[in-house]
Amino acid sequence: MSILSMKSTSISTGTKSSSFWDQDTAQGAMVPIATVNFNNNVTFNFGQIPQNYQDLMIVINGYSNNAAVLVMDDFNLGSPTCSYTSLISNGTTVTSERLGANTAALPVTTSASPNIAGVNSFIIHVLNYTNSTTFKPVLSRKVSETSGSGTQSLQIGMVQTTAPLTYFKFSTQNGANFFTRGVATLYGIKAGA
Amino acid sequence: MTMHFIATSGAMTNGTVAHDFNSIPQTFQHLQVRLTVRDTAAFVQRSWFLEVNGNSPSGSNSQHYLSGDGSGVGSSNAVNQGRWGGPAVPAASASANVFGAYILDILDYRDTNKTKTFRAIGGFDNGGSGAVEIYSYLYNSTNAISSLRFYTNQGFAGGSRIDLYGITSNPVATGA
Repeated sequence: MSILSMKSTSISTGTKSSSFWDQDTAQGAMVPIATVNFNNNVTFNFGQIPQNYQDLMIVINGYSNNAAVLVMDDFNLGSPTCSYTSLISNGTTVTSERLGANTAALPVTTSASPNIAGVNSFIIHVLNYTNSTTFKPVLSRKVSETSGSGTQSLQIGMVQTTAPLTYFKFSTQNGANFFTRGVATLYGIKAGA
Repeated sequence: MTMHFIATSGAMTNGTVAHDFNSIPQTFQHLQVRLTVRDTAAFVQRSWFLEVNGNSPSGSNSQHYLSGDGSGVGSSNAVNQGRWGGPAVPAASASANVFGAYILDILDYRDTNKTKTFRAIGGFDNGGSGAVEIYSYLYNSTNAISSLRFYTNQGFAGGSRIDLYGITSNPVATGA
């Protein structure tokens, strides 16, 4: 079963590692679902997301070729309105930023905290993603660290759809910006035995 | 390190006053609580609260926070607290279907040789209002933590949910 695909400057596709299935029981409530190994990826997506977890967690550690913005978009292959409130530190000041309503895309880096040309690390939680009556909160932490500069941010986003999430995509927004290398992994967080 | 489900509130009915996790197993290294919650009061924003071990010993706990509201940032602290209070949640006047999301970590919760430190990250976005926050709390007791009571200003809105997990210190890596 293919549950993810990647669009990159060198087109490739991937499937769920069979070794991940084997680890489901051993690893308790946090279960790896799928992984993407970056190879000049402009976009990557997670589709056919299993609906048997309580929350999702995405861990991204990517080396970006340029300063860029990373967005989540194409939720359920649609265009729900998204918004966020963020808290950003750049080593000198702390600021807060808001995006009131944005069609189709939820930036997980902001204008005040863009990806750097270098390593960018994210941990993103999508809580209650299978609920059919609530909008979907997306809680993300991000660090872009270089010697003498860089930013860290904490952000709460909202995807205004009550539909269970089965698909979303990440994009560096244009073909000039991409992850040259690194890994993104999607985890499911189980509630219940 | 592995993560294991312990208990859940399930989807709470509207107006649930509080949710208790009692008889917490003393077999993990850390605890994690994941909340998606909303309050029933006629405000856009209210708070959630936490009492540890039935607020015993009472009144000697402290807290700090760092918060952003989309334009400004704030930070404050409080001492001599009987409960952990203040993390923002949407309430009845917020947009429909909006719930706050928090992830709360409680480190070394059963260690009887030190006091206990909590950390929560989260908030809610209401498409033009809301807050994102980092909260910390000192449970100023060496007692092992065996119960947690969560509540809001007026009551949990229907569909609110709280899940409790245990984190082991075993050597199996999760990659996260």
